[in-house]
Amino acid sequence: MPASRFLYRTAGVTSDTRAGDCPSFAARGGSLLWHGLIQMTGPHGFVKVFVAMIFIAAPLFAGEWHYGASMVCSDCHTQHNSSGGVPMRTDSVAAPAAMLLRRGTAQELCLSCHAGANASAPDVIAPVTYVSESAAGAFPASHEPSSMAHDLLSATPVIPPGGTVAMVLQCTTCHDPHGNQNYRNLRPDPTRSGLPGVTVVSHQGVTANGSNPAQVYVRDNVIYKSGVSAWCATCHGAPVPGSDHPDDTAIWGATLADYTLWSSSTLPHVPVHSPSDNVVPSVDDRVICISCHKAHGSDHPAAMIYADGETMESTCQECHGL
Amino acid sequence: MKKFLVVLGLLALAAMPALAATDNYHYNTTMKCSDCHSMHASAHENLPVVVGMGAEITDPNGGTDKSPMYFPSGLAPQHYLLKGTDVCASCHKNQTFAPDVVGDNLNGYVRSAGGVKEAGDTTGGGHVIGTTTRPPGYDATAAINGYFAAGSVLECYSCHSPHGGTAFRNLGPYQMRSALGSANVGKVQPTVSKAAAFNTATDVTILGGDTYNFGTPANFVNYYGRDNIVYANNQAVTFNGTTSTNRMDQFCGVCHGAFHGGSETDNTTVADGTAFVRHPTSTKVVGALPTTYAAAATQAFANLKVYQATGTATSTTDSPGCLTCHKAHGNNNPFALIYPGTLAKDTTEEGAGVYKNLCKTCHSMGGTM
Repeated sequence: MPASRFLYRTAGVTSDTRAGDCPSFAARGGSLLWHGLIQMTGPHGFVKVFVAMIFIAAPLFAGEWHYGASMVCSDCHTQHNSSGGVPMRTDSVAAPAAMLLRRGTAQELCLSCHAGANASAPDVIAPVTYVSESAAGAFPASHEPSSMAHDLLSATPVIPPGGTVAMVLQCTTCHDPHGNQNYRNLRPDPTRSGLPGVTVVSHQGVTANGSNPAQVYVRDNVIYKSGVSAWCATCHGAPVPGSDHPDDTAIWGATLADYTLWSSSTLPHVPVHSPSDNVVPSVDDRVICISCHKAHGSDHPAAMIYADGETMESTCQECHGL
Repeated sequence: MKKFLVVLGLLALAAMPALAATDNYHYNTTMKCSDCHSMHASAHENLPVVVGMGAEITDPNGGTDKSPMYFPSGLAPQHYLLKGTDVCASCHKNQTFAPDVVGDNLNGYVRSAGGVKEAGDTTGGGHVIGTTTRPPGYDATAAINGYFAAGSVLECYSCHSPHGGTAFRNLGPYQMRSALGSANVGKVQPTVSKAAAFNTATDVTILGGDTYNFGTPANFVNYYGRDNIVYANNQAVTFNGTTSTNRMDQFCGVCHGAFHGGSETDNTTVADGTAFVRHPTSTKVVGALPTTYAAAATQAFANLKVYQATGTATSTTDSPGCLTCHKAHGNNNPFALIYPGTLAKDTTEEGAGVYKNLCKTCHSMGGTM
């Protein structure tokens, strides 16, 4: 097993606690990481372990915006809702909000920055303006139920396709507002029903600095390493062999997929897991949920990705020469 | 007879600390009218102004005294026969014989309250002497309103009774001493004990006892130093619709009423009462939060003043209050906030950390401190 995979999986055993709320997340991950490395290298491999940790720790402990150094309490909360006699809410409403938020609800607060008003923050509401195509796509501006995107703030709880737990989705269902060590601050268990937490790991060429969304939240910047499909499955259930398209499965050597076709495609390659290297296409590529679907939503049914921008078939045909 | 006199003398000596222990400065035995007032705006043929320690003088009531003799010199008589335009500052600003409470501390210790600000001092935050701006969180709809009516000026005596009292630091909303009414006075004036050990029966304990010696700067820390002041959290008092477990918060709430929230049901607009709209003060136990730091925040926690259940600050029993986050007078951080360090005891009134340390001492989300 490659060292990197071992480490990511080790970190992935971090219970079902909300990672952002649990300071022991890093400590436990680090502890297990250490024991794992000792087991792998033996008692005399300290130097190798040390060097390995330097290189491997980066994706594990990187964190995202709203976490660690970039977690600014006052971005979202006020203590007294007044400064100089002026309300602290960003919508200038005088009444204080629950949880000392600076907007009426968490959803309003998230969208106050992430709906296009703040050019430094990634826009998640269509039409996205900071880039032609964001990695996760966008939610419809109408906020109406749509088959093309995750349905935010549905009137009643909805059971996700393939899932069992009825939910009313909002930004903080999937993303920990206080950040964590998961990719995009994803909650290890978005259902918060006690499922084993899932760690999603990626490699990003450029990380967020508070003003560079067009460089960070785009497909070409992200190499997914592990955990994406398992994370989706916490709500949507695991794919059923024979009934669902194979998931987290290698393209190379697959009976019904054509690696030569995948590796030679001239269209932008859809996202895949690339656990062993940071190169796509390459032989370690594995098809995952977001190979076909945008995480937030798209302009197409079922939030599909159209590899050529126009047809669903173009996505299928990146792997299948039919 | 000789033995009797010796015994009498010993008794008198023994009684002195006991008497002193019950009194604040500027109260009872240490309340010197002539410290602040002049009967005729003239003395000693208008000798030059002398601010500071005078020589020992004979107290007309007996004994000797060291007093900052502040003689008027050609100044127009002041209201209330005061000896100057700012008698508080004459002793408490940049002096070594009395606690320095304006700006940075000349006497070199970490004050529990920090220093007030003067007009034009834009460094940091805190109470600004002379300001006519209404207090942040001023609640004109509160039961006790009109305390800081339009045109009011914040002065030292807005908070401290110049004639002293039994409350901690002579605290009392002096300007409304009559309007407040006897039923309420006791709810907003922190009780104090000056004992060697933490006294759970009073709002504040001065651990250093009553070892304050007037005119001895090295001794101030015993009485005014941060580490010798301990707040209790078992003095539940309801006032202005808010329950707190320490009268310090109720005292702050007289002016800052809308900032004041003892529990989630106080000053809330959330219909079900489950979510705070103000940061709670004094009634919520830090350790009751779903997740709190343990090792990482231990030092930061120790650098903050929480309202304690026992003599040792413990997150499982103690509560945050106004003075956990803010210096009562001010410091060089915005809003007089304290940014606790995480590695060692803070040696400044601002703290050695960054602002997030303050929040994250109790709220662990968002990564390490």
